[in-house]
Amino acid sequence: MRIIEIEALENGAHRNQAAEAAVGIPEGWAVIPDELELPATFPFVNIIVEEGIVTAMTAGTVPEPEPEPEPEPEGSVWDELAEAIRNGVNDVE
Amino acid sequence: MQDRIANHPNRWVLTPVTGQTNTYDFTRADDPTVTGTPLNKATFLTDDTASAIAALTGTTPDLPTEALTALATVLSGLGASSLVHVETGSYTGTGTAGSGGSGTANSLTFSYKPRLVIIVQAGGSFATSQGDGFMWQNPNTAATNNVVSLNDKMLSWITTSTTTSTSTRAKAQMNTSGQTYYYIALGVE
Repeated sequence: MRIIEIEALENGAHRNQAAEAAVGIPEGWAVIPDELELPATFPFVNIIVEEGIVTAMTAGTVPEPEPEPEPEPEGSVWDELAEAIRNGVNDVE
Repeated sequence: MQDRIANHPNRWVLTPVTGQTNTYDFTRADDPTVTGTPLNKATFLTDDTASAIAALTGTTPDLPTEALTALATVLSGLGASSLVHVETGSYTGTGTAGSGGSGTANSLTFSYKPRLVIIVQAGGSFATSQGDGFMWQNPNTAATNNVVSLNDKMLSWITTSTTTSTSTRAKAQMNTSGQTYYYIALGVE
């Protein structure tokens, strides 16, 4: 059985679980019937729930992936220090 | 047990008992090729078997039916108290994550209270570490980087990572957006 949290997370996704065994439905969650097709955007979906059962599911908006954090330039500080020493700097405020 | 095999099944010799009217001794005359297992107490319920059952139940059975009933009761009790559950399933990552052990958690619900849960990322390598009685798999982050809690039949976990990158924290929390994760859980009742 597949279950889904009714309320979407802040990014529009829904927490979900597909269990081989019948599990208790947590409060605030609903059952997705087997015959309901999951959009390709799952778990970013819009759902309609009636009496604990999802009766409709449409594709939601998948957020743009966040940009990869720029790697810190290795050795730049040491390079700058070496350059400063070569230039005769011996005092830093 | 062995059946009796005879050349003349059910053949008996009747010998009149001297001095008693209409009274005969029966003597088997079936000419057996295989004697077969005798149908007596030792065959159906030996004293040793009765004593062994008595050690389990506290009562010595007199009849085979009493012995079988006692064993059924014992087995039934074992089944109710030592049932091993195995449960599998999956979930799709949402891309969200907590930070520093608080915030948005992941959770899984089971039909029993799990003792051991293994989560594996689809297509990922398998490496496990143990924490708080649960075994976790995350190819990128040790399980100790997640705060795990069990509330009856629901397992929840939140990453302790505090990196500013949400996707990195989600990965650590085994919740990468759109990623399928499989789980197997074991429990004993």
